[in-house]
Amino acid sequence: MTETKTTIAMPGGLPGEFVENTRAGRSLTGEAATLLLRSPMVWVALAVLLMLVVMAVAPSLFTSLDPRQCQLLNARKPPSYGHWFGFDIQGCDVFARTIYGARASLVVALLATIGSTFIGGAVGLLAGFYGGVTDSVVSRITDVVLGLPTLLGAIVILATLGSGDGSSIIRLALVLSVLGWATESRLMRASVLQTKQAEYVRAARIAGAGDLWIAVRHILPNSVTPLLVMATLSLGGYVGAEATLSYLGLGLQAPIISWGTAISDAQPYLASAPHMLLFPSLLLTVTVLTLVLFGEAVRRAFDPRSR
Amino acid sequence: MTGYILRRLIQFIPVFLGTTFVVFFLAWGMPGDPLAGKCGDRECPEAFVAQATEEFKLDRPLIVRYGYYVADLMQGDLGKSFTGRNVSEQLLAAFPATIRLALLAVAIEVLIGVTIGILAALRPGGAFDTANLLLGLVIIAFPGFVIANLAQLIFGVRLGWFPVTVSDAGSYYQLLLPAVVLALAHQVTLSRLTRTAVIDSLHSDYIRTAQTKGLRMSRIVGIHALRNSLIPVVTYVGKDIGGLLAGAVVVEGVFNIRGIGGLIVRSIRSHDGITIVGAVTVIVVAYLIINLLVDIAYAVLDPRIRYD
Amino acid sequence: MNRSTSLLALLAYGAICGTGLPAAAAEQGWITVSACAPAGPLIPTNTTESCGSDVLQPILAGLVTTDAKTGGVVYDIAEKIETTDNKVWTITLNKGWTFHDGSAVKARNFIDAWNWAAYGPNGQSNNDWFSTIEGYEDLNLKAPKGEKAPEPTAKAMKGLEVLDDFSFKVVLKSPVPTFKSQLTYKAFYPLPDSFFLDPEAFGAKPIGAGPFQFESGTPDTGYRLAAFPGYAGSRHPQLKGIELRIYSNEEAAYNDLIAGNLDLMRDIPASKLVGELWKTDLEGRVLQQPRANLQGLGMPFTDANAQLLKPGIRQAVSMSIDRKTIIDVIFSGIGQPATGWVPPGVEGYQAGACGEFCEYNPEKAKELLAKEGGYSGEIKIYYAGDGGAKPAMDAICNSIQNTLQINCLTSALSDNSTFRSFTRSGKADGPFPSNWTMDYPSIDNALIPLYSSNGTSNRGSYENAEFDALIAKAATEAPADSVRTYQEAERLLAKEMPRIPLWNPMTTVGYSPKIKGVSLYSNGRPDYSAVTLAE
Repeated sequence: MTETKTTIAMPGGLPGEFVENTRAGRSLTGEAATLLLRSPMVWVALAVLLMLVVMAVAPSLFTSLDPRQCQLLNARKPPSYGHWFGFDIQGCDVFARTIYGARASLVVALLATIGSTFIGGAVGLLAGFYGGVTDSVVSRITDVVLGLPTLLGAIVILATLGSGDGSSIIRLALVLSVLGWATESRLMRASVLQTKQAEYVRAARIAGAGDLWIAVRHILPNSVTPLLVMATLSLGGYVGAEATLSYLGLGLQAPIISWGTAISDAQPYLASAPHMLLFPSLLLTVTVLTLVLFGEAVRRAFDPRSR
Repeated sequence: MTGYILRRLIQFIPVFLGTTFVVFFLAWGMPGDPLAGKCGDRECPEAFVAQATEEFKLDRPLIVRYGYYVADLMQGDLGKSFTGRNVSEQLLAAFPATIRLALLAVAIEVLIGVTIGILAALRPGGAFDTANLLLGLVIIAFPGFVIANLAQLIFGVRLGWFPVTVSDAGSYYQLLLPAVVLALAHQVTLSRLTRTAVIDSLHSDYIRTAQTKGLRMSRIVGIHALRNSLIPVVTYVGKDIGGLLAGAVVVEGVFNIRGIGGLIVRSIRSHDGITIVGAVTVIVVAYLIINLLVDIAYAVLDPRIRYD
Repeated sequence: MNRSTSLLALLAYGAICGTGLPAAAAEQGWITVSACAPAGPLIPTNTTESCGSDVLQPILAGLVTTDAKTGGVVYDIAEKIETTDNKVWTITLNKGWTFHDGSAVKARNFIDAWNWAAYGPNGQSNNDWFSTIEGYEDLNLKAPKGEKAPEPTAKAMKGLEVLDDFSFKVVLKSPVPTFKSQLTYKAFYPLPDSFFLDPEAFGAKPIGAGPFQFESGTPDTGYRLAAFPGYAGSRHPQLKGIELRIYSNEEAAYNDLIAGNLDLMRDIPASKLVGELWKTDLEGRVLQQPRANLQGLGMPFTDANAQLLKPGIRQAVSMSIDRKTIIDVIFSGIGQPATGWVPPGVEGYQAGACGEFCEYNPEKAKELLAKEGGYSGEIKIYYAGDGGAKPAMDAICNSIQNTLQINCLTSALSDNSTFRSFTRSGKADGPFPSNWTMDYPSIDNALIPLYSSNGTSNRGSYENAEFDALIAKAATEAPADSVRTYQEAERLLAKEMPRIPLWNPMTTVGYSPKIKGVSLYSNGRPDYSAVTLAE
């Protein structure tokens, strides 16, 4: 399961890196946004993202074909006029399925990112803010979660949730968040530890503010930036994780169409019918690439030294 | 420092117990009858079911079985799996290949990652830096199983440069291609990290001092900048070894490496709870130890860090 | 502290020791063959899964065996097997057979083995094979409700009697015309005396009387089976030995085969036999042979889906599946559409037992569906997500959907155990793949365990009094008549379709230029004795 985990964690890099680079104050956010929009790379990334979002919302704008209309006799036919990406193993149009697959793949990634950021952020805040025993307990739990095989976790969680209709996107997102928050939590903890030392936090404490008030009002806003940057980066990782889980037989279920299922279905035919694998992979790669580039740009914008 | 290490080691005990507890319940909490599907296409006869139920105490409450498990564990017995083999024996058979693969992958990863990172840091934004960034992103963006299968097909089957698969324990030579595949993806982050860290160090005061003192650039980068950039690198590498010890499921599968990842997947698929608990627990302990080693390495690399 | 040192020791151990055997070419006269890891100890009476059976096949010998060429039952250790009434059987052994440990194969090696396997508390997975023998119940006492079964006092079945060193008598509870065919199954094979002293040691290093003897190996390292010089049968091996290499992934094995690192591979996955590439890769070194196996669609048998309980709807679904095209596309043309519930090549096979209901006929299917008042809602096909069933299930679903305009979905359950528990529980509200591998090549084995009310693999999911009556009738008849009665019972299944026959798969074996003479038994396993090295 290392693969999934590393893919998820990889774009994020290291907690230390962010914390050091983003001694974020709120004034910085506006500044960063301005800086961000100055880069041409960001505009390209935004354009691609916009296209992907449109694709996810209204796939029928891109193709008039029905992705669920499959004739076995067409199976594995190479690209041709009218069927630009050819046909897959079931004789479905690869182009249509790739377009329609965007929605599930992106929604899973988005929900998983929100979920893991939320859990990781809360846990990290708790550990960093209280320190001591709480910190030790939380850190060790984090270790355990990082050591758990994703496959086991995924099977158990998927099974516990049951196979209700139509909710397999949410279930998969839940699996990815429950198993993926540990990295986020470490990052948040490190960030909180640093913010805690700031003058204004001490001032607030002297002024008699309560724990909850300090944590939510002062520490959270000032330490959340690295987490948000990380979230942008991990979006791409989760798109890839969906594919890996499909490869292991735990991915999204029919009738949902996704890039992950398309890629894992086509993988055995790598040598004999590569076009079935190529096109969904290509779109997946472009998406991840765009998301990571965008995340990288966001990170740079927040990095005071890169100005 | 000694006090700190001791404290961390004492923390191992509750974590160890907690892990076995959680994994025990996860593993045995999987839906379905673990004995279903044990007899091929046939249904298992009653005598078989009754005997297995008795042997593995499947009819007792989970908490009672956990009690038995821990009691055995305290005597160093990891239990016996559904396959009739001792879990410890299975782990000892699976670990060598996994450890070798992990060490080899990390070695390659560090070699490539740190080298590229330094070269990129020398001229940030230059052609090499940009090319490396883009190439790295493409590698990350491709699903790992596709890269592994492609590498096997091209370099193993078609070109014949590497062994196609790995048999039983696996020699370093056989593990080279899978290790490269793993290292390829992991070095991307590592080289980015090294790059950032080296750039940071190069901008710091003491390097400037060294420069004004007329030290050669190669010496500055090689000794001063690198040493101070090592902390994030060590953290990442530590985490990576931990992850690789947990088994690289996909790469192990593609290259037929009989390692720990495959063992865990097979046990999960066959609902072999005892093996799952044993294997995962060993992995979590490995994680803990490696995290501890990483923390100790911090203190060694940066004398400013104190734990006491 | 302790634990960290042991981890470091483990790291060092892994890095330095246990280099294992190199994957390099096997020694002169040996061949390497792909295999999968056995799921349990290698005890014939406790091995039902195919990986363990693969390892045991060349090691063991029984009273009778199947001929790899004709598929018929031929004598092996037995000199003759006689009966007048299908109930009392007298078995005479050939003299001169020895086990690999040097001990002679005698009548009591059979009787002891059968009694041991039939003894309930030993919990053997092949226990129920002996349920036809007189006295089986004494060794398997019924458990009172909610309690454990009491320990049986008897350890031997009344129906077994040693006549002398080389002959014994078997008395069955009721006549079983195909008993001789059943004896080809490994549960009935003899066990040496050493087995009973230490079954566990035997499980790690099995001893048989077959053409190859177990030399060494574990599920982790693979196995070495050497030709047995003292072999007394007619299947004398030409090879010096077989090295079984364990693969957890068929694709990896196939890649090794085409790269020349493997001499023989059983069951090349269909995904590899697509297009033209494999033909150049293997240059005709492929053998395809039907296997005594039926792949079918099991039907929900509770009112979890009342609509699919209607025979008419089942028949309509069956007729909406374009078996031929699915085989051509998904299985690269390997296999044939099933026309009944008994695989071809099995004694008693009849073509077209299922009649028009197993033929793809969109018009008729729609008509039948309309006659039943249509179908509301969707059809969900369940399968195990870890077994490679997905492409075929997706294709079946598309075929049903395209023909009947019923919305069809496939749903993967995480693994085989989960899948089997789920489908067996009666909670399944849709069809699911349900396959049957013949234990011995005779029609009764394709029918009785699955569709008779007390069939060992039926578990109450199907009941048909008329069918049961025919089965009971066949048991008392002479072999030729009984086959006809069984065939009548088979045709009866078309009325209610407890399982929709899909196809009979073929085994595709690929081999290296190093070997020739590859042939397969009806169970799809290679006859290693016939394999020779190409010069």
